[in-house]
Amino acid sequence: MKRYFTVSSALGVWTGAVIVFLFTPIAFLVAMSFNDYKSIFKWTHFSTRWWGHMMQNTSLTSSVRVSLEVAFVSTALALILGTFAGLALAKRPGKWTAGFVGIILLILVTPEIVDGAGQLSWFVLLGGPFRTGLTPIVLVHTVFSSAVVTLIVRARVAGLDERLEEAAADLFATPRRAFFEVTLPLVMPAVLAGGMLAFTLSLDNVVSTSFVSPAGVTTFPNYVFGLSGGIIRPEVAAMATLFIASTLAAVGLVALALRRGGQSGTEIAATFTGN
Amino acid sequence: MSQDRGSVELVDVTKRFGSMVAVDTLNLDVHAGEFLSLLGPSGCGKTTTLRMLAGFEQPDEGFIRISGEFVQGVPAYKRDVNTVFQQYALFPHMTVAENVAYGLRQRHVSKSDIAARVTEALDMVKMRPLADRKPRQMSGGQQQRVALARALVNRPSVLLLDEPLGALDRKLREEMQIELKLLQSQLGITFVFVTHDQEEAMGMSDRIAIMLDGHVEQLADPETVYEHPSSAFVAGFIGRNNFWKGVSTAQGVHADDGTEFVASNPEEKVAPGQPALAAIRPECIHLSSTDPGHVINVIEGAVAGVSHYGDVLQYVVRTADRDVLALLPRQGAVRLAPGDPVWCHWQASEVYQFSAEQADLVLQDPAAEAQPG
Repeated sequence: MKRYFTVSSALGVWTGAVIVFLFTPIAFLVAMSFNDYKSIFKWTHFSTRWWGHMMQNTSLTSSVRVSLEVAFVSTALALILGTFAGLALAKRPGKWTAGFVGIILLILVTPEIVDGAGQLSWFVLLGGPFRTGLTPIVLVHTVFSSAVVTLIVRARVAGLDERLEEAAADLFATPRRAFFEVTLPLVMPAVLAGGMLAFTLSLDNVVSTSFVSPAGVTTFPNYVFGLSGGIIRPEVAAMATLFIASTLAAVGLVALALRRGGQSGTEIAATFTGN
Repeated sequence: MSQDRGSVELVDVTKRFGSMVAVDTLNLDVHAGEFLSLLGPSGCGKTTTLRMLAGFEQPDEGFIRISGEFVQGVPAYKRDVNTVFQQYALFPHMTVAENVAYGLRQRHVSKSDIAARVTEALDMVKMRPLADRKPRQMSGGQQQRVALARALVNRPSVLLLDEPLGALDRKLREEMQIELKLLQSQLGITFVFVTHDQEEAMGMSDRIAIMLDGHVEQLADPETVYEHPSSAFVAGFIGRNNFWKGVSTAQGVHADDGTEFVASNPEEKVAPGQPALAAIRPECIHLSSTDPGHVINVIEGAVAGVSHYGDVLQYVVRTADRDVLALLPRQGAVRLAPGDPVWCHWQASEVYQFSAEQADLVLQDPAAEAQPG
């Protein structure tokens, strides 16, 4: 009993240490958004003034708008492409399957610097809409996001009992209704998880985005990255805090949706970890 | 139409998967309202046959009529048949009641009628208290009942059951067998029941179609397939049998080990001099510890093993070339110990005689299988 107690308290301490290690930088950033000083590298005293500044800094707010627009559009496109690609891979495998999966994996393992350079030269060649506005950034993000969604959806569909669609047909459901009433609801957790991942990857992306961004179009990460002299003011920390809060809210909403859809806690956890 | 409702007819039906012939010019008539089992070893085509009736597969050749109507090219969702799947295939994201209501909803039955019929169907399988559960919150036996209700609530002309009891433990399986049979006779719906378990088929069916290599080997009521198997395969598959290989004689079979079989009612006529099989069921073998003094329908050996199964004793008798299995009712059975000399003998009326075509299928020694370990 005593021995067990020692081991379990040691494990508890270890777990605590890991959590501290993972989350201290984030907590630090959140704290620094309430700093009065002009950079996040030195604490003076508490103030909310940078939260006000954040709203007035138009290059910051417009970069956030660009990021969100790109993330929403590329996630939507990735969900459409990836969901159907995942369904097709799992349900109608054939000679094309191996090659297709190979291409998807290639997208995921190619160094972004290579992707970005290649995409830029291709877009320059195409010209026109591929060199203006959000289009090039959306396209680049859609490419890797749809690869991710495809793999997640495919894993989920492969794990589904294929008799379920037959059971629906047996119970007089047309193929269309069987898809919308049986297959899609069961694949939905993977679609949601894939969508969240796609959204996050898009918000996060720096390298290939910086290659293809047309002049005058900057995403939030690229804005932060390009701040002159590496001086990061607390208004950026404030915006980052806002991002963290909305991410947590999004995860909560998805979990709620899954629970409504009848998933158990462990199944929800499995969805988020991509299993 | 009405008098045919529930009849099924398969004529020269062939189904291939690539180069593999799953169902080979199969002919089968199922009468309206009967409980028919498709029985056979795995790979015999019974499940493929069922899937063609359901509409999940289309035959490559031949035709199928359900309730008198041709169903070529008619997809599953337009057929008036319902299926109970092997692993139930309940929709995991729907409650029990939603699962059962699914078929009625597709057919645009009114809401109040759906509620009434779902309740009725759940009562029928004693699952009403669990109407709001999700499938994963239920045991296998409970899921099985829901699957049955989900199919029967639609009042199909034919109910297809694909080894529905396979995943249940023995006791539950026996209870469900009785319930299924009762339900079927109450509802008068045609049941086509796929199984590899001969006891299940024997216990429930009005008729059994014993399948082998994609065709029907014999179609008859349980008593007939047991008493008068049409082939050596059927004789070996339904119940157990001791088989001997030999040569056909005028009265029976001269076995390769010298045993002389005289048959009074051979099931298959085999021309004298041709390779033939003789078979005796274990329960038709009498044992005696003294030489019965005749030379036909007898074989001499020594007791190799005795097993007690409550109501019966099972003896394994080792003869010169092979082991012979004998089942004796416990009451009045001769008591012998391993090593005792013994004579197995039998009535001429109990001798089955078959051509040797299916020798390879049946000549695994049943006594060897019956031995412990």
